[in-house]
Amino acid sequence: MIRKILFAAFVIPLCVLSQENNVKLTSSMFGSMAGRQIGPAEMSGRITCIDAVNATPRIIYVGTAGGGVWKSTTAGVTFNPISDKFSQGIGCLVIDQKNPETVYVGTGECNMRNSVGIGTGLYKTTDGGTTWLKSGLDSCERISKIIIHPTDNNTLFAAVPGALWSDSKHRGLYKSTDAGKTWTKIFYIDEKTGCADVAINPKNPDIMYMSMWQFRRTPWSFSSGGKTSALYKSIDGGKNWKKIHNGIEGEELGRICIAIAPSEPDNVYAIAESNNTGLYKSTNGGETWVRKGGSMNVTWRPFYFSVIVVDPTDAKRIYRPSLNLSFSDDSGESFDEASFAGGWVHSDHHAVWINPNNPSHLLLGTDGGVYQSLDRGNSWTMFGNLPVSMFYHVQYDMQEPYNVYGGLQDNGSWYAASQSVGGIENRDWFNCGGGDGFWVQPDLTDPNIIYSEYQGGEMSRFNKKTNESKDIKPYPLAGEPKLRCNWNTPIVNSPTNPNTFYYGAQYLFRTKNKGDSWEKISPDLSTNDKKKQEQEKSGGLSVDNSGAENHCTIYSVCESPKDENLIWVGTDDGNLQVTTDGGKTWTNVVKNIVGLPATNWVSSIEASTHDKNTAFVTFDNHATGNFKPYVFKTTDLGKTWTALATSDVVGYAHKIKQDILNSELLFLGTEIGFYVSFDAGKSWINYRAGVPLTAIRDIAIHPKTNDVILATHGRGIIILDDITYLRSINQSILQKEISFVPVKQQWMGSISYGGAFPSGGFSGDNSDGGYTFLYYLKQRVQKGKVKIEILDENKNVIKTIPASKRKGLNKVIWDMRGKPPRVATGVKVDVSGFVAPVVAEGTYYVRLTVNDKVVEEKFSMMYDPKCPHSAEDRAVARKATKEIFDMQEELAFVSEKIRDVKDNVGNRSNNNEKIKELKKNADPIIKKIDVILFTLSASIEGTNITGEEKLREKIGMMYAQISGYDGKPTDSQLERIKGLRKELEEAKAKIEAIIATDIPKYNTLLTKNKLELIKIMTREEWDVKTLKKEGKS
Amino acid sequence: MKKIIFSSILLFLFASTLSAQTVDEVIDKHIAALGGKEKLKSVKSVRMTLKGRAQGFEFPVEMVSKKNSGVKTVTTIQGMKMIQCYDENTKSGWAVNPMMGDKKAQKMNEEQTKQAQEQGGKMESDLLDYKEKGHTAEYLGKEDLDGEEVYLIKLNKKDGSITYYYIDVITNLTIKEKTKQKLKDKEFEGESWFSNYQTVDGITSPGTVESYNNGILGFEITMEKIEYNIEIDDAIFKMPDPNANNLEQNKEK
Repeated sequence: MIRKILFAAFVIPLCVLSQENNVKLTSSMFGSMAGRQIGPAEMSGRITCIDAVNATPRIIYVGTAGGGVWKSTTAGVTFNPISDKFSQGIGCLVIDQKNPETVYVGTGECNMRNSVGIGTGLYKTTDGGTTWLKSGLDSCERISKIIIHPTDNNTLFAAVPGALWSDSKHRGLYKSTDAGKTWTKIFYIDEKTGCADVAINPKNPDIMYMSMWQFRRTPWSFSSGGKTSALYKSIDGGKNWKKIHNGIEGEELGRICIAIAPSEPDNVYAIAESNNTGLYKSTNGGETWVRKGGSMNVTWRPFYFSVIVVDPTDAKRIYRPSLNLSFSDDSGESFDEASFAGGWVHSDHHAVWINPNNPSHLLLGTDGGVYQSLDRGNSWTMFGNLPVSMFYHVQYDMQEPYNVYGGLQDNGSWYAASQSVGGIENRDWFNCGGGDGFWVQPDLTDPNIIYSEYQGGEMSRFNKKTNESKDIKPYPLAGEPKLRCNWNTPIVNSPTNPNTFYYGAQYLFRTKNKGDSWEKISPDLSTNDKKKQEQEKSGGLSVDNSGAENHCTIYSVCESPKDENLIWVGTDDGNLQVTTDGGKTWTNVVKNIVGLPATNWVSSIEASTHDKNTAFVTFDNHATGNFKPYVFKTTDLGKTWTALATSDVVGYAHKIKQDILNSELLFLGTEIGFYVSFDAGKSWINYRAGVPLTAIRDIAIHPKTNDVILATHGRGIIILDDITYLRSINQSILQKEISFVPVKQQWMGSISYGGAFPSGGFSGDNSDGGYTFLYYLKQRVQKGKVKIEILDENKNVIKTIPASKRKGLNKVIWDMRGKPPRVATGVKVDVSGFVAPVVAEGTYYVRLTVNDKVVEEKFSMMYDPKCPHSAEDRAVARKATKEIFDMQEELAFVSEKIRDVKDNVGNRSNNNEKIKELKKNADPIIKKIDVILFTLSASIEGTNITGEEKLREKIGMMYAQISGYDGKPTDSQLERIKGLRKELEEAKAKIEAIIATDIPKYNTLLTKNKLELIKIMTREEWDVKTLKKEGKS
Repeated sequence: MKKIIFSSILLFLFASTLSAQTVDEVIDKHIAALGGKEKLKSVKSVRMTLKGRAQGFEFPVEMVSKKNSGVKTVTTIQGMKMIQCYDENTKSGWAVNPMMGDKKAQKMNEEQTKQAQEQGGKMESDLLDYKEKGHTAEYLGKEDLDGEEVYLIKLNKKDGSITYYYIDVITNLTIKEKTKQKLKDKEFEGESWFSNYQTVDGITSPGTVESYNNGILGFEITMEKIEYNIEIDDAIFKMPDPNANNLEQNKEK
C-alpha cells in the first residue's frame, strides 16, 4: 500500500510536470502550411454590395455573402481579399468618398434567405483595407446599410435589421458622430423589428428616410411583414421620425427599400412589400406617394431583392436589381429588362453601382459574381476572378490527379481536377448539374457517371461522355405520403460498396443499381411534426415556398466503413437514428446526449474508420439563434456521448471528420472557420493558413494523396496538401529546439503541373512541385543564420536552399536539382546558367543548420514507379546531360583562361608604355584572342534580337533542352552533342596554339624587361576562384 | 450626468495621451535597439556587400549609399553588372541592364526613381526623426505575427506612401515591414522580413532580408559585410553619358 502511494506520489508530479512542459500547438505554427484555394471563380458566388471610389473608379470594393470583402485597384482586372481576419458574410460597405482610404464594412448578410451566415459587427479601415479596426455594433448580427453624412464625414448612420432567427434588442437605426468609434441607437421599435434601409438627402442632410421591418426565420418557416413594419421620414437629421404612408397600399407592410434621386432629392422611390407589393414614387420628399407600374421583376421576392437605384444624373432613370436587372426611363411607369446583349448574366441581383461621373458605367452584383457594363446595362462582362463560390459539400474520385465534386448555392453542380497544368483555372471546372447544387457524388466504378442533385431532392445521373442527364430520384409508391426532402437533401455513397447509394427524404432510400430502383429502408425517421410542415404558408406577406424551408427531413446519412449494416441518420428536426441491421430496425439515440438543446439540425455524422462503435456527430442549432458549436462522440454506438467542442471553437458546427490514419486527429468545420484537434477533441486550434474565417461546410480526406479537402461556403474549394505533417507532429518534435518532421518518400519524374499564371482570370495553385522538407523551430530565429543543405551520399553539399525562420513548422521545397553550370562570359546572359541538372537516384541527406545546432535526415531519391521512361532511357539522358554540362563548364574555363591571358598581355603593355616592343607584340596577340573569343560566346551588343549563336549559346541550348526531359534524348540531339564536342575541341586547340606559341615568345620579352611573366590559369585555379565566388562550399 | 461627462473627457484625454505616448515609446525603443539616435545619425555613408539567393542560384550585390548624395546598387549575374542608381544631386534615377545586351545607361521613370530612392532611405530608418522628415506615425496596437508578439506601427510618409513596421516586443527590432505606394494609375505593396540581426560599429541591422510566397521563403539577401562612413566619391552616382557604353561594365574587379 505504501509502495503504491509512494509510486503515485512520484508518478503524479511527473505526469503533471510533463503535461506542463508540453509545447502547446498553436495556429501560427502552421503558417507555412497554407491551404490552396482552387476556386472556382467561373460562376463566382453571391455578391451583396459594391462600392467604388468616385474619383478613381478603378478602385472597387466588393462585399460577398460568404467570401468577405475583395478589392480591386485595377478596374476589376485583379481582385484581392482584404478581410480574411473577420467574418466573411458581408451586409454592406461604404467608402468615405472624401477620404477614400476609409471604408466601413457592416458584417452579416441581409438578403435574409435560409442559408445566410452571421456577422460580428462593423469594421473600419483607414488605409484601404490593409488594417481594420473593430468599430462597434458587435451584437447586431447583420447590418444592411451604412450611410455617411454628406457634409460631416464623422457622422454615420447604420441600418440594423439585426438577428434573423431570434428576438434581439440589438436592432434599429444607429448613429455615430465620431466616425464609428461609438454608436447610439436612435430609433428602435421592438425585439422583432429591425431597420431595413436608410437614406439621406444629399443636398439637405436633415431630411432622412428609413424603413423598419418585422421579420423572422425559424428552422421551418420565414415571415416577412407585420404591424411594426413602416416607412419613416425625419426632417431634423434623425432626431424625430414620422410615418409616411400616404399613398402606400397595404394594411401591413414587409420589407421596404428606399432610393433618393441624387440629382433631384425630393424625388424618392420605394418598393414596399405588402399583400400587393409595389413600386412607389414621391416627388415631394415622401409626403405623398404614387404607385407606379412594375413588372414581375420589380415586385419579385421583396425580402430577398430589396434594392432600387436611381441614376445620379437623371431622376427618372431607375434600376431595379431583382431576378433580373430592369430599368425605367420614366420614373417607373414602364420597365424594360437589360438585354444582356453581351452575353449571359447570372440571375438574382443584389447590388448596382453607378459611376457618378459616367452613368453609363455600371457594376452589378449577382448570386453569381460581379459584372461590368459600359453602356448603361445593355451588355455586360463578368469579372471571372472572384473565387467566392459557396459550396455545401465536396467529394473526390480516385483518378490521378483526383477530381473534386461539389454543389454550389444557386450555381449548380461542378467538378474539377485538383491539379492542372499552369494552375486550376475557370476552364478546368465543368458543370454537371443545375439549380442550387449540394451533394455531388462520382460513380466510383464508372468515371463517366456523376450523381448530382438540386434543391428539394431532385437528383440526376449525369454522363460525361454523352452529356446526358437522367432524373433518378425515388418517388412515393401508390398511396404513400409525399416525400419530404430537405433543401439540401443528402445523397451519400456507401464506403463499403461502390454501387450503393443512399437518399434521405423522411425515409431513407437505398439503391444498388445506380438509381434505377430504390428500396425504402426506414420508416419516417423525423419527428413528422405537422406544425413544421406548412411551407406553402411560409414567407409572410409574400408567400415564398422555394423548398428552402422544407422540414422534418433527413439531413445527414453515414454508413459505417466497418459494417454495411450499420447506418447513421440525422434529421433537421433533431433525431439521430442508428440501425445495425441494414435498416430493419432503427433507434433514436439523441436522447442519450447530455447538454444538447432540443431540435437541432444533425449537420454531420462521421462513423469512425478505426472503430465500428465509434461515431462523431455535429449539431447545428443556429436557426433558433443559438450559434454555439455542438460536437459529440460516442464509442458505444450512441448509448453514451462525450462533448468535444471546447471554448477554442467558434461558430455553429457543420462538419466533423476523423483522420483516416490517426484516430486522435480530428477536423471540424464551423460557420467561422476550420479547426484541428491533435488530441481526439480535448483541445482545438483554428487552422488559418490559407483558410480564411469562412464557413467550412464539408471536409473530405483523400485516401491516396492524404489531402484534406474543404468545401467552403464563400471561398470555393480549399485543399491542404498531404496532411502527413499533421499526423506526425508530436511532443517529441515539439520539445526539440530544432527538428525535422520525418521526411516522406517523394518521387522524381512525377507529373509536374507547374505554377499558376493568372492572366486576368482566376488561377488556383497546384500542389508544390519538388521535394518538400519540413522542419520545426521552437523559437523564431532572430539572430544568426538558418540554412538548409542537400548533401549527396558522401556528404558533399550539392545545394543550399534559403530557409525560413518562423516559430513552428517551416517548409522548404527542393527542385531536385543541383547547381547550374558555370558559363562563359558574354554580352548577354545565357539561359543554361540558370538551369541545374536533376540529381541522380540514390541516398541523400538534408541538413538544417541554425547557428551552432545541426540536424540531419537521410532520404532517398527514386523515380516514380509510374514514370513513363525506362531506367535505361533515363541513364542515357543523364549521361548526355552530364556530358553537355561538362562541355559548357569546359568552355567557360577555356574562355576565361584565354580572356585572362588577353587581359594580362594588355596590362603588361599598357602599364609599360615606354617599352614600345611590348605593345608591338601585344596587339597582334590580343587581336588573335579576340577573333577566338568572338566565336565562343555572344558578343554583339545592343537590345536587338540578334539571334546570335556562338559556341556557348549552342551548347547552352542543347543542355537546356535535354536536361529538362527525363527520357532518352533524340538521336539528332545525341549526334548534335558529338558535333558540338568537335567544335569545342577545335576552339580549345586554337586557344592552346596561342598559349603554346605566342605566349612563350611574349614571355621572353617580359623576361628581357624584367617584368612578371604571363601565367596560364589552371583548371584548379579557376575552380577555386569561381566556386568561391559563387559561394560554393 | 456631470460625472459621466467628466469621466468620458478624462477617458478621452487619457486615451489620447496614452496612444501618443505609446507610438513614440515604441519608436524610441526601436531606435535604441538599432543603436540609438546619435549613433544612427552619425552614419554618413554605408557600403554593403550582399548576396542574393534564390533556389538554385545566387549572385553578389553591392550597395553603396551616401547621405545627401545618392544610392547605387550593382548586381552581378554571369559576369554582367546590373546597376540601379539614384542621384540626390539631380533627384533622378538611372539604370544599366545588360542582361539583354544593352550596356547603356537609361533614365528611370518616376516610379522606378521612387523605388531606387526608397532603397537609399534604408540606410537610415524612416522612423528616425520621423516628425522632422514630415511623416506621421500611428501605433495600431499589438499583433500576433506568426506566433510572435509585435507592435504594429504605421508610418504615413510625406510622399503619401505608407510603411507598416512589425516590431518584436522583446527585441524591439523589426520582424516585418510592409510598404504601400501609390502612383497616379496604380498602387503596389511590398513585404520584407528581417532576421539575423547583427551589430557592427554599434549599429544593429538585419543580416538577412527575406521575401515569401504563400508562407514559403522564395528569395533572400544576406549581408556579408557592412562598412560605415567610408569615402565615397559623389561622381559614382552621376549618370554616365547614355550614348556611351558604361565603362564600369568593362572594368575588371
